[in-house]
Amino acid sequence: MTKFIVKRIGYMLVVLFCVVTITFFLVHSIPGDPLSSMVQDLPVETRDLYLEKYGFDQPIGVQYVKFLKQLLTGDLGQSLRYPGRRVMDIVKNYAPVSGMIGGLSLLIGFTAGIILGIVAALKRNQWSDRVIMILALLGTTIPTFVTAAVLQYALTVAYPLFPTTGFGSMKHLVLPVACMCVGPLSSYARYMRSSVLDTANQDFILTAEAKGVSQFRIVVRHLFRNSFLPCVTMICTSIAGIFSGSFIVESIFAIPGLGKYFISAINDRDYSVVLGLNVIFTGVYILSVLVSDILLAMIDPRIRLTEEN
Amino acid sequence: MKRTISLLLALAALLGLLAGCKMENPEPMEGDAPDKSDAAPEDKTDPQPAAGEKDAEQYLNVLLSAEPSVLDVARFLGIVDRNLFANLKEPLTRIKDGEVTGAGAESWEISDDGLTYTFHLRENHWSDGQKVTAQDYVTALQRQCDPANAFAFTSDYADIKNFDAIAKGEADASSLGATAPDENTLVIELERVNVSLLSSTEFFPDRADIAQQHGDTLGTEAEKTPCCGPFLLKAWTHNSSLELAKNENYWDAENVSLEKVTYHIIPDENAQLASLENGSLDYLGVSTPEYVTKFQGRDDMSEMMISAGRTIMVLFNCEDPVFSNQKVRMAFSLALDRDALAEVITNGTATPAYSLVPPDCNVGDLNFRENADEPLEAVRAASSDPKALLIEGMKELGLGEDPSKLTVKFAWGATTAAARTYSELYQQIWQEELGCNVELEFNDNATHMSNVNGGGYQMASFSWGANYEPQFQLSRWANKMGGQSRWKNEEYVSLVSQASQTLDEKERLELYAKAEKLLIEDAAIAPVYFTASRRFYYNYVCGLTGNTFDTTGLAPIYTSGR
Amino acid sequence: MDEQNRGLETALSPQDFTICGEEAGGADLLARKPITYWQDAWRRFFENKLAVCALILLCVIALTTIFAPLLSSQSPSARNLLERKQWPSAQHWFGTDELGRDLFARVWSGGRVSIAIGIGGAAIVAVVGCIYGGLAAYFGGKVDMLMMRVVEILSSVPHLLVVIMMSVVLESSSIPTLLFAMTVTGWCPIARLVRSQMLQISRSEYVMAAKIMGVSPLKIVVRHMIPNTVSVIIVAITFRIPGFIFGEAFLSYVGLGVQPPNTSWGALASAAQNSLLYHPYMMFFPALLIALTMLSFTLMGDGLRDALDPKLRR
Repeated sequence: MTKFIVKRIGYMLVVLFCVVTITFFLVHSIPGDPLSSMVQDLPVETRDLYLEKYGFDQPIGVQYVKFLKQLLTGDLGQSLRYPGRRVMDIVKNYAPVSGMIGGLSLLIGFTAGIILGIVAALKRNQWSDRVIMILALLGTTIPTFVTAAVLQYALTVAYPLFPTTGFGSMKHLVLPVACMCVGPLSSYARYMRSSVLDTANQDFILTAEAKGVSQFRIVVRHLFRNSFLPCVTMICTSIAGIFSGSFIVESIFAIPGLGKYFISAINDRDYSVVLGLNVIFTGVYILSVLVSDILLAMIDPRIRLTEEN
Repeated sequence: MKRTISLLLALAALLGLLAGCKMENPEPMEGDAPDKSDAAPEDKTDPQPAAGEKDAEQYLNVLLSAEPSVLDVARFLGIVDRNLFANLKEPLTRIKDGEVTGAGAESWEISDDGLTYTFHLRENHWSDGQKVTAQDYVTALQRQCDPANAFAFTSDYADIKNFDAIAKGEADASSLGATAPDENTLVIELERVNVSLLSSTEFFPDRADIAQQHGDTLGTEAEKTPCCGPFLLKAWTHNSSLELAKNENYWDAENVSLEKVTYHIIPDENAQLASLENGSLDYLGVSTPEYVTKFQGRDDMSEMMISAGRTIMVLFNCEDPVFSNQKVRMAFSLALDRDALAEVITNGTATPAYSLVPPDCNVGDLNFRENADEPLEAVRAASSDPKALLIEGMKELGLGEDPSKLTVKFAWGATTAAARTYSELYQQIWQEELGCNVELEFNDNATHMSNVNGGGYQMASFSWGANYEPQFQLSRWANKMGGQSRWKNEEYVSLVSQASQTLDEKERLELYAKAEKLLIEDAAIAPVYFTASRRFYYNYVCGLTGNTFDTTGLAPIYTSGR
Repeated sequence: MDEQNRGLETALSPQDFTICGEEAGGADLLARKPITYWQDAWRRFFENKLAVCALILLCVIALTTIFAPLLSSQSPSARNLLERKQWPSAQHWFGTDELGRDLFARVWSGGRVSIAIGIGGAAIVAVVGCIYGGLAAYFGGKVDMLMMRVVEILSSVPHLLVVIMMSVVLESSSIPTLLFAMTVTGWCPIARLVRSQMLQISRSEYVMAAKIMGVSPLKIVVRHMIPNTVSVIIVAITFRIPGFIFGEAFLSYVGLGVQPPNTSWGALASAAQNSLLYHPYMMFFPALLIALTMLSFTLMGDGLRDALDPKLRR
């Protein structure tokens, strides 16, 4: 088991290194620079001075080596668009916000989705199943910005129940989380339903029913645990998406989150931030894949044995 | 084992929650007013009615359209930062009610040759109690010309002796033409005469010791930003809000009514409008016609038209083979249906422009536009067939006589859906009037600026804001390169520089008028419209200024009857 | 024979039976007609009413996209400033936009782009994924390992990041570059899927039996491996199409999607965002069509998956 984990971790580091390198060269091929985007009529000398200050005038190979060295010490560089701010500080400031909203919506979406999925599967082809599935389908097909704009008007202006924008209290969280949990809720409901249906066809359930085990026990002890498995893998990789996928909601509700920051960094040509955030997102993603692989291996003996063979 | 894992998973999800809980901020969710324009202006022609008694609690909720880059006078990058400086730091002079008045400086003298300014400072203190000295103003200038800071706006201060040379690293910092003979006296020496220095440039003070203490992180957090203006920065939640509190150590503190100002950072337009509607913001500039009508119908709100002092224009690249010909440029300029463009793009709030300088600019006490006709009007009256003009120009260039064989590119600096709609309007207007082909090119702002500054375009959509005097706008084309249009005209350059040295208002105005006429008649640019906006404010907000170029910030504002 | 029958006390004797003849090949007669895998899948698909409805809806949408100009005489680009922002009427079935352009025409010409991107993107990732996965499975060994490592690395970069950055780097203003940006890492899951399918099949008993029987490798690939993978791939593609349509809508929202003069449903929807509260029809129609198309593809995908799943064969 330990060998499995160690192998995986080593592997993950290699992948991370490759991704970081690719991202570095990709970011540096984006045309433009942050200063020109903000200041009209910029004298060439000022721009050169500015680029020199941040080390952009050096050949790209040199910059790459320097970047790697800094990376090893945990320094992701300084922002160009917001002078004086370190990327790590930016992440420390904004990540918790995104994490909170994303985490909450994932939690709610996951829990509610699973429950709804099970209900839909148990009441297959009855009206409650149909209703749940239709709602789930709608949830995956209506664009987020439509939901967000409509909710914002309905619940902050027409019936002012919640604050329009901003972040700071529990009240501020309701609408953004509501918008964001629609997606996961719908996917998990659908996924769980099909997973339960698959499991329910298997022999051991039939045996349990034949033995006279109560419906409730079947659901809780057998169905749930066995269909839960694939969802575990899904949730682990969704965790990585928490930080980057919330752009639309953050824009509309003026939430100081990482997703919006990333997009605006790209538009502002804030190279260091784009690169730093890329590294972080990728790192988190790879980590979550690793964690889900390990968890799966621990839960499902079949995987572990296959790998070891 | 399985239970442990389930527990772990639950814990992981909770961790996300807990981490976020630390971010609890006791921010009241009040309204916000977006400060879209460069200044915080009011309509000159519609002064606010005298209000009743002031409220016991004085606070304000204002919009900030974007997160400030850094609140450091030597490293800031945007307009948003400048607006905040007006409230947090005390410049030597401010423009109040359309006039240059003393702020940090009580009085000043200008030498006869116009090259030496001597300022006598007022008694003022920083928020930590220390006195604001003349050396502080020198410190600011020194930091601004320090090459290590890579200050983006050195051209604003280029008239100061050796400023440019030091900024380029060619001269030593000690040779700067700014000195503080004593605590309350500041002397600034210029390299060349600039009669509109005080109306176009702001001199802020800075604390050398605090700058030293924080180094690169100066101005990135509330506690790292020294303040000596009417307000101090109490709290700053990045990308969300800023909170200002009244600075009790300010020299004019007794005339500042607001105790607290909250800037809300809301980039999304719908969210801004919703915030104004439910009272979360106290005032806002509105352009969507449906909302305009809605707010006009409300009894608890009033409206004022604010001119933004900004000219939207089309730049022509005079070094481009096709647009090197004046007739071609003028044809494209004349073909524009400015009324339609202003109507569609700004829902009628903007004024079609047939000149560069907006109506708000003054030369001394004289209003520029009232004394100088719009040059393009005269051209329009004389020649009414842009297509024929284009054909003439094409013939001169040897491109034949058929406009349908001509394809030109129009670059636009935004990629939003609105941008596409508007640029398509330009495209259709040109294609219909001139019979040629116009290709649209969209880049995001950064790339667009790069291209324009580097001459990589044929026609480009652009805008320039104006300062109090026409000097600033006109001088955009008076540099070696010929500005972003690459329009090199020696007569123009000499007119503009002569004007900046002419003390007499009438003469200066004439020179500016001549320069503008040259620029427009030679079609280095095609002006399109002067922007304006409708500001809606709740009736309890008083003291909003109507002048486009006033730099008084939020100090004169108070609420009554909230 | 008589000895064997001695123990039986029956009333029957051989004289009670007359031979009435033999039918040639009677022994081989099967109870019902043989049907191939595909015919069975087809039949099952059509029994799934929901999937059939989805298919019909898609056909309607596709046909309208192609033939819309014949239905309405309005042009998608003719601006008419006198008729800006009008609600749907007899003259403008979907209303008009900010420049007075007919939205019905615009929505359907945008539909062409959206559907093209959806299908095009899915097709590209399918083709690339199949070839790559197939090759990896075919070669096996070290080559396979190397190829899969590359896939893993590429799929470790969050998809959204890659799409956005590629769009910016390529300054994508045309549909091909947009498609490239969206598919540059999108083929990885399909490659994995194809490869694992092929490996699974090659280890299955009937393929082993075919090998033992001496069937040539080519025949094995053509007759066994490909048909069994195709079904999985078809389902995968059908589920990917909505993702591409949605992805394009998101890119339009951020400002990176399709550029004028091309328009797409996503671009139309995000352009209408500011007018949502007073002119909801401007967003309603594109958003509705995005939703319907995605819905249809998803339902059809569900139906196809159920139809093509050999385990459910009857």
